[in-house]
Amino acid sequence: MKMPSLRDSLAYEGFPQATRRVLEQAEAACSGGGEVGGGGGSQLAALVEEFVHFRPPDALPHHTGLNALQELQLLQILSDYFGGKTNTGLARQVFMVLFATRGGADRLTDHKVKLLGKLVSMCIATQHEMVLDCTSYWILQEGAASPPVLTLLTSVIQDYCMLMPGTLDTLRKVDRTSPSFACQFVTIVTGLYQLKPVSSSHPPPALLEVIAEWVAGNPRICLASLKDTKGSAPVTPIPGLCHWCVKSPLVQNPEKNAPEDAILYSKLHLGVLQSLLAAQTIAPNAKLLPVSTVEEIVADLRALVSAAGQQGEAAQTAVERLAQVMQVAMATGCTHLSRKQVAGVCGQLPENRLLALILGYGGEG
Amino acid sequence: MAAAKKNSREDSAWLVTRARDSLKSDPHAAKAWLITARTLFPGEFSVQYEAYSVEQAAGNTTGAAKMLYDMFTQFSDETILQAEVHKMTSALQSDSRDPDTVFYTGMFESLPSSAQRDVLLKSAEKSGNAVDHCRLMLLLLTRFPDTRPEHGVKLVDTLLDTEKRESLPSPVNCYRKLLVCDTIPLVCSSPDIDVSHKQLYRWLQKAMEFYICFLTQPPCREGSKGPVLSSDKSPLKRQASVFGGLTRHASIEGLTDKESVVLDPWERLHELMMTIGCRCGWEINMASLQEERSLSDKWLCLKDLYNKESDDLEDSSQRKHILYSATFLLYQCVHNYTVAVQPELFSGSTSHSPPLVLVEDIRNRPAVKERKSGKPVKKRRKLEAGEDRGTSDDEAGQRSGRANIQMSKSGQVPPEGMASFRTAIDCWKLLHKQHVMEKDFSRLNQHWKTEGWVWLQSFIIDMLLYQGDQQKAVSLLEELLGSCSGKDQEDNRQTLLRLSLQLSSCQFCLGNYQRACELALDAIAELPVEVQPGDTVPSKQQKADKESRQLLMLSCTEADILPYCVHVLVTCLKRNALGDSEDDMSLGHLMVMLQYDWPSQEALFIKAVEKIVQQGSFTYNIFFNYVINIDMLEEFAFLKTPEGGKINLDLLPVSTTAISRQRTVTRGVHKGVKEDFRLAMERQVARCSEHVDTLIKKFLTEERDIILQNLL
Repeated sequence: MKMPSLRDSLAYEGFPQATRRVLEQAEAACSGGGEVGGGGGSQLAALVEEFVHFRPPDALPHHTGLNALQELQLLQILSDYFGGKTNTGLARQVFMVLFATRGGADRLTDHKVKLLGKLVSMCIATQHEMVLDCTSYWILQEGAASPPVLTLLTSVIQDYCMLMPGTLDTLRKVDRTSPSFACQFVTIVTGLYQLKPVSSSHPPPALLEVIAEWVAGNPRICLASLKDTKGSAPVTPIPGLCHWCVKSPLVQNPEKNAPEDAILYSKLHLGVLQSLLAAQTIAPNAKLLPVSTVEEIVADLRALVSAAGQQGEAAQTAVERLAQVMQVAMATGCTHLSRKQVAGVCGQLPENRLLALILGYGGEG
Repeated sequence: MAAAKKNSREDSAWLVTRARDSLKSDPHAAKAWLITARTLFPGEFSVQYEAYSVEQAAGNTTGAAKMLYDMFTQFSDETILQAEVHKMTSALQSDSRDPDTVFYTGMFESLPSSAQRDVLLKSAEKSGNAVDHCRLMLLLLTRFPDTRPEHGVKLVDTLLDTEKRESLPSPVNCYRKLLVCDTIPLVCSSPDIDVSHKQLYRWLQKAMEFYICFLTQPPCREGSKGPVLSSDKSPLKRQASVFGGLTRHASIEGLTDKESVVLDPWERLHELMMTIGCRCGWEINMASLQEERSLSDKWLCLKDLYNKESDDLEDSSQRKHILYSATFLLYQCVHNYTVAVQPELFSGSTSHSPPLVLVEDIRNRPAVKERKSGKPVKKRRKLEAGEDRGTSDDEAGQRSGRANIQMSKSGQVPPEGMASFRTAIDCWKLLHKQHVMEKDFSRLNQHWKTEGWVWLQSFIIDMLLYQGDQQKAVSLLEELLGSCSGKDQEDNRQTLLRLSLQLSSCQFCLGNYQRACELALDAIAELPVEVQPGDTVPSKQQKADKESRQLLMLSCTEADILPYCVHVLVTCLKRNALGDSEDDMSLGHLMVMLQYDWPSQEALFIKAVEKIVQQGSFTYNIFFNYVINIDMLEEFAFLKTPEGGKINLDLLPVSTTAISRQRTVTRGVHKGVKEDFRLAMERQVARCSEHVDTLIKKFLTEERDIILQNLL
C-alpha cells in the first residue's frame, strides 16, 4: 500500500534526490536485520533499478538513463554515501543491494559491472577505503572466477596499467588503503594471466611490479581476505602466485624483456615465502596451499620441462622455487601434504640438491 | 647422531653459500634461500645470522631488528650476537649521526616495545660492569616510565652499594654521577615509587655532596693527586692539560666526556631538592620553586620560612626543609664568593687575576700607643651596599659584629661576590641559631667531611674575621697552617701566603707583634716572583669610622702584600727602635723599611734621627746594603759632620770600631776610616735609583733571621 506512493514521490523528485532517498531506503532495509531478499526486498530492488541504475523493468526501448554528466554526479553520490559509513557490515549489505549480479545472472549485470568499474577506478584514485573494501566483499560473493569479476578487473587494469601508466602510483598505494581489495585484486590477476607462451597471458610489467611490491612489501596482503572467508576454503592469491613464481623461469614472455621480469618474479617468490611465514601467526593452520594446486604446478612444470627439453639453469631455478615453497609451507603448516606425499607428487621432476635435501629431511629428523 | 649433525651442518652451510652466491645478482633470491634454510634448521645460528647480515647490508632496519631480536631470545650466548646487541644499545646512548649509529638506533626503535624492554633488561643483567649495567638500566627507565617503580629503586641501591664497595676517594665518581644526575631524578619523577622519607633524605644528601664537590673540584695540575684524566704522560696529552686542563672539569673516571658534563649544577640540584621536598611533605612556596632568583629573594624566602617554623623545629619535615634550603643557599653563596675571591681553587673557573685575601686593616688600628693624628681624611668608599636588606631589628643587633671591607685597587670583588659572602654568613648564623638545627647541620657536614673542603675553611676564616672573632680565627688558622706546612711547597705557596697573612693580621690585632712580624715575613717569602714589579704606589691610607671595624681585601700580589707587611713590621719595629732602650738594630731596620713609600713616613724617620743624635752613636753594619734613599743618605752624611753633631756612625760592613782597634799604633787611622765612609756614601748615592720594592723584598727575605732575632 505504501510503496507505490513512495515510488510516485520518488519519481516526482527525480535524480539526484530520488537516488539519495533510495540509498536511505536500502540502508533502512538492511539495518532492519531482515534478509533483503523477501517481498520488501524485491520492492527495494525495483527502486534501485529505477532510481540508482535508471533502468526500470518497464522502461521504454528508447530510455537511455542518465547522461554522462549525471552519471558522474551519481558516482559522486555513491562515493560520498559510502565514505560517510563507519559500519562495514551495513555498508557491504547496501553495496550488495546495489551491485550484486548473482554471478552474472542479473538482468542489469552489464550495466552494473560497467558502473562499478567506473566507481572502483575513481575510488582507487581517491583511495576510498570503504568502497574498495565493499568491492572486495562483492568479489568474494560473486566468485573470483565469475565473469562479472573478471570484467571488472580487466577494466580496472585497463584503466590503470594500460591507458594511463602515470597513475600507477595511486594503484601502488591501494594495499595500504584497502588490503582486502588488494588481496582480491592479486587473486584475480593471477587467474587472468596464466603464463602461457602467448603474450596476452603475461601480466603487464607495470602490474607485475605493483603486485610484487605489494606482496613482498607486506606479507599480510595475501592473507587480508582470510577473515572474510572463515569457515569456507580460504581464497588467497597464494596458489596463483606459486604458479607464477615456479613457472616464470621457464615461460618467457615473447614480447617483454626477461631480466626485469625475472627479478620481479624473484621478489614475488620471496613475498610468497614471507606470507607463508606470516600466516603462521596470523592464520595458523590455514591451508593456503591446497593439494590440487601443488599437483597442478608439478604437472605444468613437468610439461614445460619436457616440452622444451629444458634441463638447464631455468629448470633448476623453477624446481628450487617449488622446493622452497613446499619446505616453508610444510614448516608453517600451510599445506596438508606430508613430506612423504610431497615426495610422491614431485617424483618426476629434474634432479635437484635442494629438493633432495628437503625430501630427505624428514627421514633424519 | 653425530653424523646427522655433521650432515645438517654441511647442508646449512651449503644453503648459506647459495644465499651468498645469489646476493649480488638477486637479493630476493638470497633471502628466499635463507628463509628456506631457517625453516629447515631453526636451531642453526649461522643461518639466522646470515639472514640478519643480509638485512643489515640492505639497510633494512625493521627486518634486521626482527631477526636480531629472534636471535637474541634464541641464542643469547653467541658472542657475535652480543656484540651486535651491544652496538645497538651503545648507539642509543650516542649523539653521533654516522650511518652505523643511525642504523642501530633505527633498528632498536623498530622493535616492539616489549622487545625493547627485554633487550635492555637482559643486556643490563648480563653486563659485568656496573657502569654499563647502569647505563642500560637508565635507558630502560627513561624509555619506560612504568619500569621505574620496579627497577628504579633497585638501581639506586645498586649504585649506592657499588660506590660503597669500591670505596672511592671522592664523591665525584662515576657511580655517584649516574646516581645523582641521572637515576634519582628519574626515579623521583615516578609517582608510584615506594620510598621512605629517610631514604629520600639520604639520596638528597648524596646529591648535595656530589654537586657541591663537583663544583668545587680543585684544578688538576700535572703531577698533582687531583682527578687526573689519565696517567698518559705523552707530550700531546700534557699539552692538552696545560691548555684545557685548568679551566675545564676533568671528565669523571669511568664515564665518557659527554656523560661527565653536568650542566647548571645548582639549578639541577635545586630541582632535585624541590622534588624530594615535595615527596617529604615540605610546604613549598611557589616562588621558591624557581632557582633563578636574586640572592636577597632567596634569603628572604628562607628567613620567612624560618620565622614561620622556628617555634616548632621538632616537626622534622619542616626542620629538614629549613636545614636543606639553608645549607643549599649557604654552599651556593660560599661557592660564589670563593669564585670571586680565589677562583684558582676550582677547576671550572678561570681567572687572570691573582687571588684575593681578606685581612684585618691594621693601618688604622691604634696598635702602638702613639696615635697619629692629622692624617688626611678622605671619603671612604662605602662597600656595604644593601646593608639593610630585610634585616629586622634584632638581627641588626646580631650583625653588630660586621665590619666594613675596603678593597685595594687590585683586590676588587664584584658586588655579587660580596652579597654572596654576607648571605652565606646569614645562612650560617641561621643554621646555628637553634640547637636541633645546629646538630643536624653538623651531622651533614660530618657526612660530607667538610673539614677537608679548603674553600669552605677559607670562608669560615673570612667569616670569623668579619665577625671580629680573632681568637677563633687564630686557632683555625694555626690548625690549617700546621696541616699545610707538611705538604709540597710549590703547590701550597698561595695557601701559605694567604694563611700567613691572615694569621699575621689577627695576631697583630691581638697584640702578638712578634708573631705577626714572623708571619708577615713568611708571607713575603711566599710571594710569587713577579717579572715586573707592580706599580709601587701603595694604596693610600684612609681613615675609618671609629665605630666600625675595618677589613681589607688585598690581592695576593707584591703590590698589595708588600706594603701591608711593611706596615706590620714598621709598626712593630718602631716600638723597639723608638723605645727607651738603645736598639740600633731595630732603628736601622726601621729606617730601611721607611724607604718604602718614602716620604709618607718622614716624620718617623726624623724621630729616628733625633734618637741617634741623642745617643751620639749608631751602629748598623748592613746600612750600605739596604739604605739607598738620597734624603736619608744626606741626613747621615750630615750627622757625621761637626754641624751634624759629629755622631759616631759605624755603618760600614766591617765595624769601624774593630778597624780602629787594629790601627791604634798608627796615626791618622780615623782619617782612613773617614775616607772609607765617604767612598761608601758616594757609591751608595749611585744606587739611589734602584727599585725600592725589590730592595725591601730582598731585605725582608735575606735578613729575615736578624730581623726576627731583634724582635725577640
